[in-house]
Amino acid sequence: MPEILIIIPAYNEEKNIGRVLDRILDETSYRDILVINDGSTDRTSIVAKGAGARVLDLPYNLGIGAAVQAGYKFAERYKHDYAVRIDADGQHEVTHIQELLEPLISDRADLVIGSRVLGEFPYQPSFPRRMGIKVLSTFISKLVGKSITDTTSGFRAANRKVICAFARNYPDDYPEVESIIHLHRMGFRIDEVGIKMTERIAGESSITAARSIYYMIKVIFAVLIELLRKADRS
Amino acid sequence: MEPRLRIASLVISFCLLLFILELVRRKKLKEKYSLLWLLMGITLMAMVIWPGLADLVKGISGILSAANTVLVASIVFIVILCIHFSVRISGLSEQNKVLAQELALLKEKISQGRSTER
Repeated sequence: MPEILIIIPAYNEEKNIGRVLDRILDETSYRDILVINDGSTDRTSIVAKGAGARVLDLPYNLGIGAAVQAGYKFAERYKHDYAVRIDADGQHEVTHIQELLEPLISDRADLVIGSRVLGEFPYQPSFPRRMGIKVLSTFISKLVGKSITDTTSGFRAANRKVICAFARNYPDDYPEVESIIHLHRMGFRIDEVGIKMTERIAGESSITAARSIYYMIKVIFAVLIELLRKADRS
Repeated sequence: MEPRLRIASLVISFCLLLFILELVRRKKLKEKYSLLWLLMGITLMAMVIWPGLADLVKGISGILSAANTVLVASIVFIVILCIHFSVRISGLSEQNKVLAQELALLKEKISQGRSTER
């Protein structure tokens, strides 16, 4: 039986994390859940522990890249075969976890991304975000030589090889996008699966229209720099 | 500005840009910290290449010559960078303090665990 770890990075998601964990426990059979509490100032950690998840309480806020990497380091250390990352805000349908793992288990890919573009979604992100996603994914697809439709999606599944690669080296700033480039240059196979996204259960998204554009520009710059680096094949 | 000075400034700021980019490429310098340096290099180069830009600054600030303008601009950038460093160092100090405290708390927790096992 493969060991599967569900990684949930969370920052001040006390209102949502409980429901996300309940959904995993009710609707799936995965029981190895690790919540990465990225220096939350609310009761995220307590709620998560109460729902039965293991929690990594980071001593201060490190940002999404470092938080997720902590999860991969955990998976690497405790010998998990697959790691699935989902968001703590409840926008990722847990029923898709199985679909994301399938290409890994049948060894057709090393990283599987849940794409909001490929799935039919009753909930569309706002127009600026959608444009941002489209521009970015077109750019990344050209670089990688393969069509990636949703480069900023946090809903991903990785196999053991990718877990170890990420544990060693994971970008801090724009992890979702940069990690795709990293993996591609290391020769890993990336695949996508369509997913449905739901509305955030509670709280506000921290992403505004202006931030989407600013983010896009910064990511493109970071990616261009990344391209100048030598490939690290392992 | 005197041609020799322009060429020298151009070469130096170009080399600065290359050096910064190389440091980032080799992962010795994080991208986010390189942005200010790159801005400095680009602005200085722009001032040297397009005297109009230096003249504009001269006009607003009353600085006497284009050469002085480039010098003052460099100093301004350096001051901004230094303030940036101070802010970063403050942040790092705080994080460091938290880590040290967590470490001590953990050590205590572990040693307690050991003694209750006996």
